[in-house]
Amino acid sequence: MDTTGSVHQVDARGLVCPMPTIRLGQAIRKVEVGQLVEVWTDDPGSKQNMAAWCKNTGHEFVDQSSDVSTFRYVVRRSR
Amino acid sequence: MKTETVVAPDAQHGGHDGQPKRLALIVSKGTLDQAYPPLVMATTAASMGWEVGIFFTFYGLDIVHKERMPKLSVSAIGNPAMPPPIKKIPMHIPTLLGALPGMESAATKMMKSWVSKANLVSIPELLDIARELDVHLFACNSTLVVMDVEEADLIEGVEFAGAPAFLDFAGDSDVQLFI
Repeated sequence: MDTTGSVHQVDARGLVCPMPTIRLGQAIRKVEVGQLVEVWTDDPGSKQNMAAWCKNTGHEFVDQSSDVSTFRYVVRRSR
Repeated sequence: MKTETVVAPDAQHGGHDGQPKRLALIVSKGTLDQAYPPLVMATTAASMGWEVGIFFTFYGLDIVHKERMPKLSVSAIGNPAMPPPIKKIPMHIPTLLGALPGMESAATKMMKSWVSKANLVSIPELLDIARELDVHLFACNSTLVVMDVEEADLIEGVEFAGAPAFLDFAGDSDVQLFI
């Protein structure tokens, strides 16, 4: 997947549901269509939550990765 | 780096006839613990592009009441799920003792400390997010009369609705919950 382009980062580590997706939503509204938002979170339920958020909003779930304690998701504003 | 596309490209269609999905909540209780679930659901749904309306009725109206909202409490009475005050001593408080003076305040403090430890946002913050995301906060007209509450007693942005107006909103909704 192409993850090039301007990336707006959201550090939601330490925040529990629903704040990681709320912060993602706030960030998505600030970027242009086609631009990327990267979310860092340590919420263990975040994979399902991010996927559900993207499914409902129509924004593109571009990429994900994780290390021991941090999950990273990349979402592209689609509209 | 592991890459995975979780969402089908055509998955963004929401409610009926191309309209966004709609969530309708009725909130009838005015305790701190009962204020969180509807506001978490409402803000999450709104952040997913859903149209959301919350109908605050009876004690639920306290959640959008300027003076009462910051003082929302947890009742220690009749709540057998109230956890032990000291984790190391796994003894639940008998529900009868919940009636003792100071117990409600202690239960409220305990919940606020969990909320703060878990970094969960406060009720005023959730209400701010809800308004920022255009969640409709409907105050029940009849409750204003029954509970002697003035429109000016409620926080900014509250709309006023009776049962027919709310049902009109809820009738076209995809998810309805009574909390």
